[in-house]
Amino acid sequence: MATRIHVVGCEVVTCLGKSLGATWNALVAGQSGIRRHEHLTNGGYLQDVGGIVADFGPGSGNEDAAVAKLDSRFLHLAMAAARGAWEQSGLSAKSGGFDPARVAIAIGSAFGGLDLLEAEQSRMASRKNLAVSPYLIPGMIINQAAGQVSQHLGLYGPSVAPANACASGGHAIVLGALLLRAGEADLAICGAAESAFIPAVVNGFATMKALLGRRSGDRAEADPTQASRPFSVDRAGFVLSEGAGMVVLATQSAVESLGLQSLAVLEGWATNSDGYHMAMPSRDRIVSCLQASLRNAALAPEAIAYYNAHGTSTVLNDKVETEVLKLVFGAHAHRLPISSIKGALGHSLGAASAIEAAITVQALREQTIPPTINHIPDPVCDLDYVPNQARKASLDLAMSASFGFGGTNNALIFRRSA
Amino acid sequence: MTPIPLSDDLLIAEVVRVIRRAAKIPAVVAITADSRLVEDLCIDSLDLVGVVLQIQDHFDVAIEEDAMPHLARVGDVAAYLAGHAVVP
Repeated sequence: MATRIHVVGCEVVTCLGKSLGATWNALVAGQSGIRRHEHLTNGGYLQDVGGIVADFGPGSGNEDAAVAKLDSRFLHLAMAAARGAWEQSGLSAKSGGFDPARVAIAIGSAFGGLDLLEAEQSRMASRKNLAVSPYLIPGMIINQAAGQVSQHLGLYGPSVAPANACASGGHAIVLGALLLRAGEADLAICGAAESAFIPAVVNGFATMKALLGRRSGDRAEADPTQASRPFSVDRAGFVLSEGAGMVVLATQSAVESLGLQSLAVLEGWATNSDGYHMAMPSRDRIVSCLQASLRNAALAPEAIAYYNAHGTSTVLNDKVETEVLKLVFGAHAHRLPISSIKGALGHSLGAASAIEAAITVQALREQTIPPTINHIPDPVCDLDYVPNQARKASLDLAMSASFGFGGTNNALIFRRSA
Repeated sequence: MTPIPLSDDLLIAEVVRVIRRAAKIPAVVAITADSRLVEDLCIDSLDLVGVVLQIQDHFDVAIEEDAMPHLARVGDVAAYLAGHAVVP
């Protein structure tokens, strides 16, 4: 029988808070981390609202000394979330009780250290010898997040760095689970980190009409916290943010032998590919992915009590995802509470999927569903999106799904731990 | 950009500041003219490239590849800079 896989640690660093607790409290209070930022307004960006982690990272004066030489924000975000998740698991205090070569690391990102690349390109152009910092290459490669976590937490198992756009974090969790199931590791630290606030990336998304952008007369003009509004009638694109999410996975035997606390069970999962379009989602392939996750967990659709949505606040995604849910859950779709925390957090691309997994685990623990904020009903999106106010509920099983450009999907199912 | 020449002491202090920042050397580690970059300050080969780059940027001086092996101590770096002064 396949080993049961537990979540034993969770941490997030988001524009709403630099810990899971702070982020959760703000989410259930209906707050938004989206602000208008002067450096975006004046810096050649086609969108000047975003979700930025305040007082954090390189140059903030309180950066993590262990990674201080590497000036890319995604690495600092990854390190902070990994330290927090590891601490919560209790494994940092059990050094010697487990084999560090049996701890896998799976940390993804869509873009890696593009902020460092941009800064160094600019410096390079100003130098006669065209030299760049020796920290550029180490600081921008996506697998450096896993590398730094390995180095500073002393973990030596297999490491992978999924770059699956906005699905990276969930894919990382699936890869970690697969390594545990394959017997390659007993523990895994999995997640993703992202900070892609450079003009070319923001403007690239804006040009694709994926971002809200700067829209005259939009309700975000006067109140930036209303910029991200998943499933709303006037949704008009996603709002970029940064952050990181990490979970620590453990096999049943590791939980028992190390006396770890199970926060939730990773009951099932699935990933698949659209084979359809470079950026537009395939409704039918996403349906297949969600159905496969239910099969993997041997669950009927009706068993799912909460669905944490990809819910980007784009016109297309939220419409397609609503159709997907009706096809996967049938009549249950109309009874199923659905929420997108991107209304509060914006879209942190690769990190979002991992942050949402951690928040889904927290929802099970707290028996509370975080709301979809800024919500105004849309006849096209006619399900229960838990609008604007958190809701207490009896939650045993919850699904979180994410879909990435390039046509890559994941669905994770978590069960409340007894 | 900092003009050279500075007085010896000021130049050493400025070089120390740039090295500390470039190699992220904590304030508790004392750096003097006699400090050896590799042995005393634990600056590895990658860090050394970063230090040299920062020195070049800060003082607007090109440090030739051939000179690098001779820059063992903080004082050697300062002496090199003093000898390659660009008088403003």
